[in-house]
Amino acid sequence: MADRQSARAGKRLVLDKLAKRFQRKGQQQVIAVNGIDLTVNEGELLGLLGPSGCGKSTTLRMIAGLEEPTSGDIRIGERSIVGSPPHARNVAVAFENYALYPPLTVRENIAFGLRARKEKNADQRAREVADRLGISHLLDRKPGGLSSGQKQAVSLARAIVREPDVLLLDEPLSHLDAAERDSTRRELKRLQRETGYTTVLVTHDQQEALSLADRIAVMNAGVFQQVGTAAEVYDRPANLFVADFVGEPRMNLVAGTAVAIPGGMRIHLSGDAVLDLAGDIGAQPRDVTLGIRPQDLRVGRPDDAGALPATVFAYEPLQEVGRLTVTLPGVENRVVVETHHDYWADGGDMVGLKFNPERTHLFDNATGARIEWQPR
Amino acid sequence: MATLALKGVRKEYGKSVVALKGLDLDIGDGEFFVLLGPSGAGKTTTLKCVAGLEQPTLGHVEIGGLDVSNIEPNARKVAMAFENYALYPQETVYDNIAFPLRSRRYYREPGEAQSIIERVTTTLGINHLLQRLPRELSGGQKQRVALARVLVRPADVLLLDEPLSHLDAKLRAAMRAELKSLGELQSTTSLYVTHDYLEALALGDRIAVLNEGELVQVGTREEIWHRPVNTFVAKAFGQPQINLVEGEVIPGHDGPRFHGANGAVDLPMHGFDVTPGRKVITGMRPRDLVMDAKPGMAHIKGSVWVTEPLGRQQEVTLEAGGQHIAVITPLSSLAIGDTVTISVPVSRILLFDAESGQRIPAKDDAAGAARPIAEMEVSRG
Amino acid sequence: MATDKPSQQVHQQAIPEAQGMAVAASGPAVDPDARPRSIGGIGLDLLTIAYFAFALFPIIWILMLSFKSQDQLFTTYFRFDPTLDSYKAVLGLSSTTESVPFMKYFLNSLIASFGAVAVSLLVGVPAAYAFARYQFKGANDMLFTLLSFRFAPELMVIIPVYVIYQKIGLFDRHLGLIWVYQLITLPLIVWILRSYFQDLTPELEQSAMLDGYNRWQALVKVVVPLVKPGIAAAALLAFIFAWNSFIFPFILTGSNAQTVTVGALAFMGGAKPRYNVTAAAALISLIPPLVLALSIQRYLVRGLTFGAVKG
Repeated sequence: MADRQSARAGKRLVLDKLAKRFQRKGQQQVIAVNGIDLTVNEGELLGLLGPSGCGKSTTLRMIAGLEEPTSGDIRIGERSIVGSPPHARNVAVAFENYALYPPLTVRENIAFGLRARKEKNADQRAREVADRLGISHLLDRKPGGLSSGQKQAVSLARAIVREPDVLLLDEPLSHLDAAERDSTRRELKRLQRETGYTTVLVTHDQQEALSLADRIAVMNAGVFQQVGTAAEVYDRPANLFVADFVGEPRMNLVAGTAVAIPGGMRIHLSGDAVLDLAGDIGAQPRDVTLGIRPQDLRVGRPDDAGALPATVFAYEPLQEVGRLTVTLPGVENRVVVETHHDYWADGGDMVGLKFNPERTHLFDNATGARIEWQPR
Repeated sequence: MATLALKGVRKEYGKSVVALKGLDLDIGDGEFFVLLGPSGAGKTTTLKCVAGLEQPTLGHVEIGGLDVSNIEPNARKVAMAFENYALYPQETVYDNIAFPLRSRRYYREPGEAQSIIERVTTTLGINHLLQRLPRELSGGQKQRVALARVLVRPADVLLLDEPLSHLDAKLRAAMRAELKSLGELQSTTSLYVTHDYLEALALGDRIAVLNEGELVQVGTREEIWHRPVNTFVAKAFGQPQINLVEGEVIPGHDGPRFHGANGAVDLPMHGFDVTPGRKVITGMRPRDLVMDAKPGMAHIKGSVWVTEPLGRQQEVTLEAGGQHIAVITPLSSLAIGDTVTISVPVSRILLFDAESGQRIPAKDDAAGAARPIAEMEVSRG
Repeated sequence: MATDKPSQQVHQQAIPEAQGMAVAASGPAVDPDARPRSIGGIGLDLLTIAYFAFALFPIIWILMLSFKSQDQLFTTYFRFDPTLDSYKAVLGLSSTTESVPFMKYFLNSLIASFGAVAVSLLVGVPAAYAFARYQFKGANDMLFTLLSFRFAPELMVIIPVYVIYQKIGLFDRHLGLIWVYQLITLPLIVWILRSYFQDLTPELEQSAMLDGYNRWQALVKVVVPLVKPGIAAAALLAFIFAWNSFIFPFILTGSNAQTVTVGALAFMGGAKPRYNVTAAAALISLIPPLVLALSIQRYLVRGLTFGAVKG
């Protein structure tokens, strides 16, 4: 990364076959994290993205030392930190609910960890970090009177003032309103780039992960569904879960059957909706799910060559863009198309959909896995 | 069916809290009217005044031209969907929806009630849930049940209080399209409250922007989007937020120019009737700005402060003269600190007075009203 | 509808493990919670047992007392010849002792306590609702006044009430007791139910009001069913306090409307205090509150409003 100034780069974080199982009395064992392998490089910001209950918080808690793994290893640099208490790990966490101490001032909150270790210059270092985050005017206030965004900044300041080897951010933006979220997100990214802390960002918000992360690990059911850059996860989702979870508006997913035809394949979405693609699917008919993002569909006339006829369900003129929802004959799932902002349609209108073949994804219905079908 | 009007509605709570500061609204028969504002703007209070659940301190509400001040809520022929759904927890979904049809005022024979309920629940796709209890439903399902309860009964006016606000982003987008396609909502006079500008744009025949108990602007989505009355309205629509740059009008060799951000933002002002010396704010929407220097446009030079990918596009935040300017552009390999030039389509610039925040009209405002439609064609069927 | 995921979520409730977490049937995995019982744990159990023995001892003692005969009263501890004589005496089945009309007192107690609770509910439910929903002038003062009835010792008001009752003919009348019991039961019911009403979002009855019901119907059809647990709990508490009241019936009743608490004492009078009969009387008078508590136990569970709103 050319833009990294690496003032003091963090250390590499390695998760090695990390697993966490919980056993409650009289209940079945629950595997929260099921043997994950991950390397977060020095100075990298890794987004750990998934729905609630996917195991991402447990992973964060294991790295922080709030939870001991059932098996596997966690290494920072070359050193394994499994078994060492949280305060000995040099890992800092900015918690979702900020976890500020209400009776202390912002300055005391930021310096709290330093004081606890009897480190010198606690106040001065607190001031430096506050300057960097643009909150030095708040130093003598109590957390109670701060806005959510300011609390978030204080929580972040408290985390980085210790100069941790690894910085963990737990849903840092989830309690902010839209405007505050935008500016805080930018500042967070800028700060991470400037300081070069090795950072793990835990979030359920795919947009946040796309915006902030160098790489994203999409997690579900205790395992990684895909680990890759924002572009990889967005444009080449490894399976149906990733395809559905990442992207807003969400990817259109329609089940069908793919059969080989001369020069390519034909996908039957229903009796009346058929799509031809120039790629190889193999000789046997195959149950597949077709995926395409709303931006990768074009609207035209229903009788355009190669267009899939559809009926308009609703059109939303959102000014910057338009959003068209259509139904395909005999297909249950509705299809959403992002249109030019000058477009207009009314419910019941007939239109034709054109697919951008390069952006059309196929997934195996049985396994959910991505099918590579395009001639490369 | 009826018109709905608020005449100088003022609502005070106690001595110090003024929730509404004299609201005047005229909503046409069958119009879908959206009330948009931040929390605490007085949106819900407005709905409750219309419903009769709150009495205005001053002013009154008219439904179908009649002052309803002295009419009890249950006699106003007003249906309301509450933000928290307000389902009766001890009753099944069916009984919840049937509840209004069992009241004396909206009574229907059980057989007739059942066929009405069946029709509405089929439209909303909740037929399979009728025997469940509310606690067994997901957020999206509860929302539909609440909507069904509103739609089964006759109503002159529908009041919808943030019906989608408790749903996650993806479900919200899908439900928005459904609300849009619901004939009942589109044909009945509706007052819809939201804080989400996308809902307002998608659904509203007209939109009223409310802030601190006062109307800021009432207009169509195009009016509100292209001619926001002040910076508050401009900021309320669009994500990322509109870029606002403070500066001054200075004389230039080809007419007045805008000079802002320590000179880093320098734009021609020939589209506006402004005299040099005036303190103003320019507004530029991030999606109107274009990366690189394009001919025929004004240019801003800056350095990349941060970039954020958004799927197919990226949000680039520029630093120019100490000012942050957000631009939405296709993905590219920009790095922090890179020097870039962006282009501003001059006709898209909005101008506001720096003191009052009020918009300064462009010379071609009237022409801008009729915007070209249909770059793509649609065959109407 | 295609875009919603409701069935999935409901499904998740039914089988929590089905989604989001992988499940292994069993295995050699480490169980962090399975530790041998510690010595501290056993010590805690012993302490608990000791406390129960201590707390229950008076009840056991009175139970034994009620089965003793008059001559074994003071001569034995745990070994005696059990007899039902005391119970017979209380129920008026034995002819050997001078009779105290205990069953009549029992009936009096039932009438006075149930009457008091019924009146308090009739007045208190709407009052509590009003206190919870409307902000009116003097609301707080009224609430505090109600509560202050419970601060004052009953002795403080008893003399004037006695005089008034004598004058207006409420002395030794059931109605008189029911009325004066309002000092005990009404504040309880109003204060408990007010908090139940406050916990309910007002949108529930507002919604009903827009659905064609007037406020009174909305209260009866929507709100009251939801606060049933609260009504049950408040009514039970009020009943117990009324039932156990001593001073009011002691001063304000004579032979006609006397209650068990006063009546049981009659066995203590006379030449020889009959502790065994008093014990039996006390145990018998324990029955109504106990039966009541057990029969409405299922209403005493809160959280029935779960799922009413958003979620």
